[in-house]
Amino acid sequence: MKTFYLDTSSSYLFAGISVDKKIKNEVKLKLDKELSSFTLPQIKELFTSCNMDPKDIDKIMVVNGPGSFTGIRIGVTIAKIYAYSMKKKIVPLSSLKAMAILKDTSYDYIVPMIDARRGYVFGAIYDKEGTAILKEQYIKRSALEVAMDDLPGKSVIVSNDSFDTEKEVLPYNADIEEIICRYEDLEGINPHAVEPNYLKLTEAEENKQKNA
Amino acid sequence: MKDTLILGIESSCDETSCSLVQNGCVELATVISSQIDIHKDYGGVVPEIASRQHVKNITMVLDECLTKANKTMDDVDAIAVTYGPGLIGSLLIGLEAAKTLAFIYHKPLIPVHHIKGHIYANNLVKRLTFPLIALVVSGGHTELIYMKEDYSFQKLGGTLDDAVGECYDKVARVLDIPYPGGPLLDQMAHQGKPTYNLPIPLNDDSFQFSFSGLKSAVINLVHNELQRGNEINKEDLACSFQKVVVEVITKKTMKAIEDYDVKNLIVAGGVAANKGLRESLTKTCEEKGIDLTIPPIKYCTDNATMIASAGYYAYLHGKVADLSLNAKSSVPIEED
Repeated sequence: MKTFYLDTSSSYLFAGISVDKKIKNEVKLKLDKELSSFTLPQIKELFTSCNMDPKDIDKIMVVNGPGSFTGIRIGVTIAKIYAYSMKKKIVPLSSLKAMAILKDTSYDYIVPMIDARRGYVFGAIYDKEGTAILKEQYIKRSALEVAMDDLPGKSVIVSNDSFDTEKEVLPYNADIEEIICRYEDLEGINPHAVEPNYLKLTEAEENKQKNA
Repeated sequence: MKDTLILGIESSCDETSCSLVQNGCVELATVISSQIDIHKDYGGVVPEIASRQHVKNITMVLDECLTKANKTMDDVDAIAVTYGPGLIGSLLIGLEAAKTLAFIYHKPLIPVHHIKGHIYANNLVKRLTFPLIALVVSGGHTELIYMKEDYSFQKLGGTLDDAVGECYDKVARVLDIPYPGGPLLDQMAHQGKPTYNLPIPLNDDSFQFSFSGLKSAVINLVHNELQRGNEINKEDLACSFQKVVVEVITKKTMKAIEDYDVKNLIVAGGVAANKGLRESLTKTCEEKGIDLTIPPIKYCTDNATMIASAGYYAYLHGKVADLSLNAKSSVPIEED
C-alpha cells in the first residue's frame, strides 16, 4: 500500500509518503504565512525524491483539523481534489490524534493543544493507546490543565504554540510513519464528503445564535 | 488548428464555479454553486463562511462540470484560476484546487486576474474587437480600462472609495431592502420618479469615480426625513439615486471613448446587469455610433466561464505560473 499523508493544520507542513507502512520520505517545515505558496511545491519535491508519480498513490490521509482554519482548508482542498481525481477515498485524521503519537512512551497521558486565542485551545486528552479520555474540543486552556491534574498518571502537553504554563510541554514533531501505521487501515470516505473539522462556528454564526 | 480546452476555476467571493471553455469562446459546461442564500441571513458576504462553503463544494462542482461536458481531466489543455483580487480565504480554495490538478495531471497553470475574467465574459458573446474601452462595474470594482489588443490592459481610472455595487448594497440597506439589495434597488428605481435632489458624485473631467459621498447623502436624507416625521418614497429615492449613478458612469465612459478614439465599448461585472445602466449606455452608444456589448446576466455575476475565456488568451500570451502561485486580495490590473 502506497500512502500519501498531509497535515497543514498549523504553521508547519508535515507531509510524507509511505510504502507498506515504511516511510519513503517526508517533509517537516515551518512555513507560517507561506503555507499556500510552499505546500504544493514541497509535495511535488516529495514525490520526485521518492521517484513516484501522484498517480501511484493508493491512499490519501489528511489532517482535517482542528487548527488554523486557513491551514486546514489548504490541506483538505488538496486532498479532496487529489482523491477525487484518482478516484480514491480519503482517511481524514484529527490533528490532535496525530499529535498524541509520541516516540517517548514514558507518559501515560498525552494532552495535545493548539492555540485558539483568547485563552482557549483546541485540545483533548489521550492515553498511550490513543484512546480519548477527554474528547477533542474547543476549551479554556486553564480548564484543560485542571483536567490534567485529575489524571492518575504522568501527563504531558504536546504543542508547537507557546503557552505560559507550569506543565511539561513537548514540541510536536510529527512521527509520520507511526501515524500512517496506526491509522491508514481506517476505512476512507468519499472525497466529496470530507470536510474540515473546525470545532468552532464562525464568529458571525456565534453572534447569530446569541441573538436568536 | 487543434482546439484548446481550458478548465476555469473561480472562487474569489461567494460563488464556487468551474467551467470548460474551448478556444476562449465556446462554453462546453459551467457549474456555479452560489452561496447567496447563506449570506442573506447576515446582510452580506461573511468571508469565513464563504471559505467554508468553497471547501465543501469544490469537488462536487468540478465533478458536475466535467460530467456535463462529458470530458475528463485528460482532455483539458490548461487550468485557469482566479488568483486575485478577492477574499483571500475564498481565493485560496480555487487556487489550491487548480494547483493540485496542475500537479497531478502535469498541465499548465494559468493565473487570471478576476477583472480580466469579467472583461472576457464579453468574448463569450462575441469576439472582442480592438481597440476598446471596458467599463467594469461590480460590488468590488468601478473601473475604466483601455484595451489596445488582446490581453493588454491600461487602467484609465477607478473608484477612489466605494465600488458602485457596494454603494448600491449600502443604500439598499438604508432603505431596508434585503440583501443583495442592488438588483432590487434597480427594480424599484424603475417604479419611481427622480424627485429627490442628490449630488452628482465627482462630476469632473477625470476617469475617477467616488460613491461614498453619494451614499452619505442618501443616508443623511433618509435620517433627516425620518426625524421630521416624513415618509420616504423608496421608489422615488431609488430612482433619484440610480439616475445620478448612471449619469456619472455614462458621462465618464463616453469621455473615455472620445479621448481614446475607440468605437467599441464592453461592460463587465455584476452591475452590468443593472437595467438603468444598460438602458443609458445603449441609448448613448446608439446616438454616437459606438458598438456596445453587454454580456447576458449569467456572465455578469462571478463565474468560471469568463476565467476560462480570459485564461485562454493569457495562455496564448505565455502567462503560466508555477505551483508557488499565491492568492492576492488586491492586485492592480496592469501589474499582472
